Amino acid sequence: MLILPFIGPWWRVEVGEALSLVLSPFHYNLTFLGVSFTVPLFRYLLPAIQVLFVLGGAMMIAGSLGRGRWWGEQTVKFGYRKGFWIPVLFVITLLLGPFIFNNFLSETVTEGGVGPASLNVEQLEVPYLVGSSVFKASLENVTVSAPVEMSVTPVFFFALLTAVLSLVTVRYGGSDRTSSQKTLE
Amino acid sequence: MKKKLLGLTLSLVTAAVLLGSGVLAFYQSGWNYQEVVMPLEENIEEIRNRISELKGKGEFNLIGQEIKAQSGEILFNVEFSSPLRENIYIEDISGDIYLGENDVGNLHLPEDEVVIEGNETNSFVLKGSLSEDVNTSDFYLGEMSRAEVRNVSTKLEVFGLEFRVEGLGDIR
Repeated sequence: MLILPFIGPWWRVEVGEALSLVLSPFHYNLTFLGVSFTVPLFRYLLPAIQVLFVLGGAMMIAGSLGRGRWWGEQTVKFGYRKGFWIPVLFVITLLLGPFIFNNFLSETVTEGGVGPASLNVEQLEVPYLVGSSVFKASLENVTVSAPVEMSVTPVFFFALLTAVLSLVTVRYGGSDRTSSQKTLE
Repeated sequence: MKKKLLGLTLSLVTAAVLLGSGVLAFYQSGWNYQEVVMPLEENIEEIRNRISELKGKGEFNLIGQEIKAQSGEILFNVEFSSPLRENIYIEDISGDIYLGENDVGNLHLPEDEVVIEGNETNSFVLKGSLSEDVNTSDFYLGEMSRAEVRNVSTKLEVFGLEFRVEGLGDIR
């Protein structure tokens, strides 16, 4: 948990070379037609999540070392909430986004056209988390098609491992003596 | 009691850090909701410029032609000026060859791909096949220097996107 926020993005999507988005809960880089986008909210929010995650890691270590002390359980839980839920919510978001688009928005986009220039989107099925598809659209006498590629990076698996270890730690690492004894009884 | 208080404090720390970052973002943007959640104005302006570059059409110009009477072929030397900063990869060009109002053949790009570097002009050859009656007529062959290419269609790649453009216009 202490290093996860600093070792790179977890997931990427590319539409040809025109659009690229690399993402993790701590970092994003959106590039469209060679222009990199900055969103002010993310400039502050993502470092805040980074701080909380690292703090969570430190708390989890402290709580595990102080197992049996009165503060052990609460500090481990604090770490668990970050270490487990941030990767899990990230995955849920990346699954939910395509689900909503493919099931509820896809028809609106393909049938209704996009933007004032009436770009006619003929084909666009967004993959779930990883995979590839083809984006096809037309505008007057021009047809454009592009490959859509989604992939996870090796850091993603490290994040999943962090989530699993957080779960294991909160289950076995943070209880104080009283609750352990109660469990045994 | 101490445990509960610690749990509550840690939850408040989480909320304070998250809310604080949001409040700071709003404060820095002068409490303007749109400025906080939208990309920076300079990014949007840059995208507008890139899109207007894309809308600027490149131009095909005929710079010469060569007729091979025996094989019934006509070669058009064409140049293309790119309106973009990025390389354009022309994968196919097709069109009809006209002599006056007569459709006398069609043409294609003999190469697999022609690369036009960003904001550069590059010349290449298009190969035309003449219909049989033209091929055998001395009159037509003599007139071929006046030939034009109409109904040009092309397939090209820019930014990894494949564009097919129908009815691109004429090459004169």
